[in-house]
Amino acid sequence: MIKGLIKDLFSYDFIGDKMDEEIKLIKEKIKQKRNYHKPINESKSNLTDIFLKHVNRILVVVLITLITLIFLKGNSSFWEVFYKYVYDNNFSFAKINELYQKHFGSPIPFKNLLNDKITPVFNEKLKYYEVSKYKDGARLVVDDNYLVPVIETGIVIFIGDKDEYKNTVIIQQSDGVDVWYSNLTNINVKLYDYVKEGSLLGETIDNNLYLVFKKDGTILDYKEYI
Amino acid sequence: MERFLIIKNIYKKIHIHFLYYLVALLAIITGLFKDFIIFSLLIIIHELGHIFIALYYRWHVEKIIILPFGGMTIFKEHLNKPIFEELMIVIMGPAMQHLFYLLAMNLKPNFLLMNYHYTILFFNMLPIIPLDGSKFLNLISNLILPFKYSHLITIYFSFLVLIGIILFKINNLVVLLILIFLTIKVISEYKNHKYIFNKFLFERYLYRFNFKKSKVIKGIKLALMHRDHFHFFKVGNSFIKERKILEQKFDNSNDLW
Repeated sequence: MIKGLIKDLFSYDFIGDKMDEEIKLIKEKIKQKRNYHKPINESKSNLTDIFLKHVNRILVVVLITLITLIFLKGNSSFWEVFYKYVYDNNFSFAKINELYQKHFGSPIPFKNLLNDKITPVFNEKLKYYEVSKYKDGARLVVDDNYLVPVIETGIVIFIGDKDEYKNTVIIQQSDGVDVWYSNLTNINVKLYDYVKEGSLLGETIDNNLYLVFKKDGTILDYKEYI
Repeated sequence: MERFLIIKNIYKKIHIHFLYYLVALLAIITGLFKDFIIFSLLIIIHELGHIFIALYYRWHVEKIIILPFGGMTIFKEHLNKPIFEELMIVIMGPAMQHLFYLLAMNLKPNFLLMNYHYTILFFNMLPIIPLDGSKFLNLISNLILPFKYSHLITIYFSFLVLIGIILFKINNLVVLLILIFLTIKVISEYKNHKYIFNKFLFERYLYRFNFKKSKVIKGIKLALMHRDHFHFFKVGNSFIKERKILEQKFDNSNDLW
């Protein structure tokens, strides 16, 4: 049994075993030839099989959507839970990545073995003149067209327009906090990039930079983070 | 149309190994989407390099296994195929990958691409048995040494390099699994050694290959037979053709080994 398991998992092949299999096949063929006068059950045509498979899948999807919709309409507490976990919470890639790398090394072999000489070097800390509250987060007064560095290492999970904050990049940090960097142009990162602490994120449009700190949909106090 | 059908058949022969599924799952939950896509792209292009040249020489592709360190293209062919053809098939994989890398870097330099390209290339050039490096070593030693000894040398080299790698401190789960996979492959190759050598002889008994070069061997020593050559065995003052010896071996014996 263990031999079979190893064979399946590591595609271990031993020619002696292969020959045994071939002998079995030949024996089966001989048996079939002996029973050739018996009628053989004809299988269904291939095309209908494929068609039925797809129809089944579509039906299952429709069923699941209908059931969730019925529950959402009928049960208000379910609606709240659904809204919280589907719309507000993010799957914490950065947290799992940090945990995994700490114990088992990188999940893809050969990651970061060479020195990075291609991406330009930029290692700064956030500098600002004034902080004040702005909507959910903070408004920092900085230089005109200030080059914004990343506060803490994380993964980029959103790039786009957020109505009241203008152009926004959201970075999910390994401690589970989502940081919104808003009012940016010339964004230097792409979606699902891992960005390091101090690397270049983008440029501010004027002399304002908006930051928002969120965790699982609840807004955090910005004073603890800057 | 015929070529198109061959490509369609090859698509059916792709098998994805469970280690690759494991790496894919880990890459998704840790959010390394870009790394994984670039990594897979390089592996597939590497394999396509092998396959295209194999189609050109009309080698029969049996199976393509996708693994998290590169692919494995398994051929169902004679062991007595010309060394040059096999050499071309082995070389064109890395060559195609490098060509793709140069083109892509010209368009847009990318650190991830550079990192994975050079590490995959280096790893595949290690002389461990299912990797390209071992095939290269085997073919080069086949130019000088007899078939049997060059096969054994490849196996021993594989063991040595594997032990060398294991002596490093490895703290990566996926790399460890890959090393276990490679070790099992090398052991199974070692166990199959006598069957492979017998296949080499049996093919020469079954089919008539047109080799251009010949060699003389003193005494009846089948272990000294070279690839790409046909042989005369010198016994006393007379020469015996290779074919007669093989016929004696395979016609008269009940057990083939």
